[in-house]
Amino acid sequence: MRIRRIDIENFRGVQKLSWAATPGRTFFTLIGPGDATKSTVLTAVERCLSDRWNIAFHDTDFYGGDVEKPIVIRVALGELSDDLMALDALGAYLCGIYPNGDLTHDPQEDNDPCVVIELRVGSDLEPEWLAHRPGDEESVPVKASLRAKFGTYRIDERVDAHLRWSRMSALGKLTQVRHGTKQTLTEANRAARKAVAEKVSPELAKLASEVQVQMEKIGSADFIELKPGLDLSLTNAQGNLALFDGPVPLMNFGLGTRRLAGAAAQRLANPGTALLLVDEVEYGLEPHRLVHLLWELRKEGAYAQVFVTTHSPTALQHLDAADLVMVRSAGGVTTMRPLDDPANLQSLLRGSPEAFLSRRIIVTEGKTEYGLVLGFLERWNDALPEGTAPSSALGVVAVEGNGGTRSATMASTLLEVGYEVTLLLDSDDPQANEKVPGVQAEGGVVVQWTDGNNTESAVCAELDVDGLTDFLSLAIDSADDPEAAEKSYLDQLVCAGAPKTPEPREVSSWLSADLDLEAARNIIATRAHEKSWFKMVAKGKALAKFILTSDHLAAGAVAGKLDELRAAIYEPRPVAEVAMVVPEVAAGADGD
Amino acid sequence: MTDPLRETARGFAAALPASVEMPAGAGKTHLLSATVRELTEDGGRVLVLTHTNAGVHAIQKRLADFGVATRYRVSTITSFAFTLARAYPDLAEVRVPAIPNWSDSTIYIEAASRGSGSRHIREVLRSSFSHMLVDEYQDCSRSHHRLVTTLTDAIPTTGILGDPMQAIFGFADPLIPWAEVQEPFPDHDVPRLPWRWVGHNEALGAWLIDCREFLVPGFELDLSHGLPNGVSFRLSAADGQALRAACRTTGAAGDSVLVISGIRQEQTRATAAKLGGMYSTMEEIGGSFMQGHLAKLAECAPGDYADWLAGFIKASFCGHAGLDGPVRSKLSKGRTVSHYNREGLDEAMEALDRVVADPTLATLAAAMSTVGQAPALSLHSHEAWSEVQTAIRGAVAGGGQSELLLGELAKARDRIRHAGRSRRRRVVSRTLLVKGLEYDHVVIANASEVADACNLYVALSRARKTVTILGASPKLIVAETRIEPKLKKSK
Repeated sequence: MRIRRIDIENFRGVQKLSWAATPGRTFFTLIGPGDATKSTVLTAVERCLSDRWNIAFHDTDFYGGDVEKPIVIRVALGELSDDLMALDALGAYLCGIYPNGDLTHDPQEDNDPCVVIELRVGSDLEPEWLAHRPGDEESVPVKASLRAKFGTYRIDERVDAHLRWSRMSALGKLTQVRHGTKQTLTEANRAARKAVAEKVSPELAKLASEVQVQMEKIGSADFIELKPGLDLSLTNAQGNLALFDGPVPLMNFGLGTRRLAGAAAQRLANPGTALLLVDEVEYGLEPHRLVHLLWELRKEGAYAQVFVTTHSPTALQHLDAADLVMVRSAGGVTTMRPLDDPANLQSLLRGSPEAFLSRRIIVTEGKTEYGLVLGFLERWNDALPEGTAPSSALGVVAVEGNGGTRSATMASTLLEVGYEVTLLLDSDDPQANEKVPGVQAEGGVVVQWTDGNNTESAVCAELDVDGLTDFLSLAIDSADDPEAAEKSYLDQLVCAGAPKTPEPREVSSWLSADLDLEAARNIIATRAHEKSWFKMVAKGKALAKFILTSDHLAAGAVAGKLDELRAAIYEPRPVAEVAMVVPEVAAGADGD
Repeated sequence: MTDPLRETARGFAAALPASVEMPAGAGKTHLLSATVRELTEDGGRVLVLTHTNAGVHAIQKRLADFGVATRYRVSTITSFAFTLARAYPDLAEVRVPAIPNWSDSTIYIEAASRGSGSRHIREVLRSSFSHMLVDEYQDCSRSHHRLVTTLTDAIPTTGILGDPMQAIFGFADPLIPWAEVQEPFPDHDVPRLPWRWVGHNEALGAWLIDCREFLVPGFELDLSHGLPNGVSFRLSAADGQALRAACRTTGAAGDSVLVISGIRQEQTRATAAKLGGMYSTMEEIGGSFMQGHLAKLAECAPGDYADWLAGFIKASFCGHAGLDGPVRSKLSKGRTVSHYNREGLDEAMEALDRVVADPTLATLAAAMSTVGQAPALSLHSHEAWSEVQTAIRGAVAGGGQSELLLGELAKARDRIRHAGRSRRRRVVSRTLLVKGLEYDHVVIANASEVADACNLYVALSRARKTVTILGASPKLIVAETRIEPKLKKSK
């Protein structure tokens, strides 16, 4: 069973969402800035496919708190198992679905069968689960016992329940699957109550060791010996038999370990058929365990389908662009867009994973400008008037470009897949300059130094002789080894034509040696640029401080450009046209 | 220890697709249920189709007796077809209402055939069922057969059970000849043991198995000799004396007796009337007689209720001669009649007067309860009388509008479709209505009315103990049984 389409109306922050999954894909990573409603999407799917008899809904679950507009969550499920396809299950309520997500009342010769499960909640707050078909006025209820066959599980902070043996938990289900009856469970519970861990039935002990193998495989932890034990933290009669590692209940392990254990238990209980929802997949995991988990989740045949959300650049670095779905929310309308196109996203993902987690991206000319922008952001954020959102809240992330034309191409690619992009560019490369109108046409904001300048020359062009002296001192002082830098930088300047003077760090001494100001600017700017004086984050940041505090630069071309950059970062841009984004691939095409 | 029934069932299950020809009383439901048991025990999921709701209930009950609780679905062909057609209107190319109208059953069957041609529906069927068994296949029309063969594309291991000797044509659609059934479902031989007659009249049972060989069109059956113990022939004249005598003397107290008489329902009722209340008329499921009277009542002004009741009494009772012209004339003018001196009819006249005095459906229904107390009257159409009364009470309960009457009758007849007929000990009926039913004794009122092979076989095989055949001659040329509508109406 796999999700083919998701529609949400009036649930929490989502007034409206329609999304068609790329057919054949089994692993989806939802990414986007914090308010993009990714978790709401997972919660909606979980509730819609939940086998709970009842779920408590509150007024606050309605979009804008308006209970008069019902919550409607619809999930179209394809590739149904026989026990769901049967007439006494959902076999009389099949719809047809095209690869673009379009539904037909009956399945047609040229599309795939699916069933649309609808969760509907009106102002009475009573959830109803129905089999929906387009065009039908009445829908048929779908019982909890049937929904249990969807095998949908959410791994979140409430994962502990799955580490106990209870009716609904993964361990409980696994015991039933393996030993065919609830009897084993009941007996074991009874035995546990009587004599704590020592009287546990051999079946459960064996099962626990199987679970251990699986959990270790998924990278949960290196356990000593997993076995059932009595969890005294619960007072109810059911489900107080829990998984212990030696004397330690698994509940006492770290959240990451427990979450992994939950995922492993689901895989055992529903081999190849579980639909796993993992909110913030990186939560509680070190990078190496996270990477291992992603590898396990993406394995062919391990789960029917997996949806994760993440804010982790590490996670993104280890995923394919085609695994990603960009989630955006604007004015209540949520859009989900696959990032499986264009092909060059992949290298971008490896190089700048953090960009994909943002809303607004500043692509810089190079490393110097990357540090520069980070420095600007720190200072600008500090100086924001009360009540104004800092750049991080706006989902602004700076990424390091790799030279003019490549930075421009990166900007175009990111624009194409829906990010808001600002490009901070030198104007000294004619080939890069040629790409500027293209980026602008795609909606990008380009901030480019004037008059064929690069950053260093743009700054130097506005400095007088004292300014140049300060600039030179800044470069030397912010070097890793200022003493060595002083000598090598001054040598570099002499090679470039600076006169030898007794006080070479004083640019005024150069002018006394008959060099004009323009030449001095030129020598310093060229050397600073070519010899990468500021090409490190810390150095770029220092330059930012210099630029923002230097009196020479308070007005003029550079200041004008900074105003442009600042506006591009902090000011809202018009909301993009929102439409249902559907993959344009043939049915059954494999995304890999 | 081997269980022969299990052996037979296993053999049939292994032979699928196949058909078995099972004579009446030879344990067909038993074999079917045992086969379902074998298949489900092996992990199969079985679809069982039959024709009538009574058949559905009989099979469900037998399966319960066998301890088969899950993994099967028993349905009538029509309601299964309705389910498919309703679920997939685009594929079925027809929109059917939420509540089925059973007179449209041919539409549902054809729609389901179209729907199950889709690869998706085949997949649904394949997911739902591993095997299919269809009972009473002799009653399948060509459109039923088309649906079943379409379903076998998804469920190839299908078994057919039926008895071509009991193929009596009653629907508008032609029946499927058994030879055509055996093409996709090759004949599978099973032991034919006359279970029904064990402990009753085993010689009759054996003779009925033999009958199947010689009851072929053109055969001259001589009823004057060679009949088994319990089967007898009596010459009868047109005056009906012999029939009355036979009906009076047949069967000990507590035995059930079936009189087979008439080709049409009115003839059957006339026979019941002649028998003076000893026997009761069996109504067909559709209930056209009751429908006719209730339709008239629904159109009556309340002032005419009493006269309507007089008319319905005359149609349902013997001994109603006193409800003559003058009485009807008064009633039709809304006047009372109990001042007339009609011997033995006082209670009926008083009941009529109560309706005259208070012409409501409630009073009418109440009056019907006391009519039968009149000593001169004897009811011969019990089923009709009680169903009509139930329908009127239903209409009263629903608000008293006479438009509700026909709907209430339909509800009552639907109950019979599901629960089966309430069994009366002595009934007059026709072969078409008694297929599948058993009686201790059968009286065939006129051999010439059941002269074709299938009707004759059905008539004879209803009896467990004795058969009494009346006729103008002991010689009977066996005719061919129709399985298609007549082109021209003959007498």
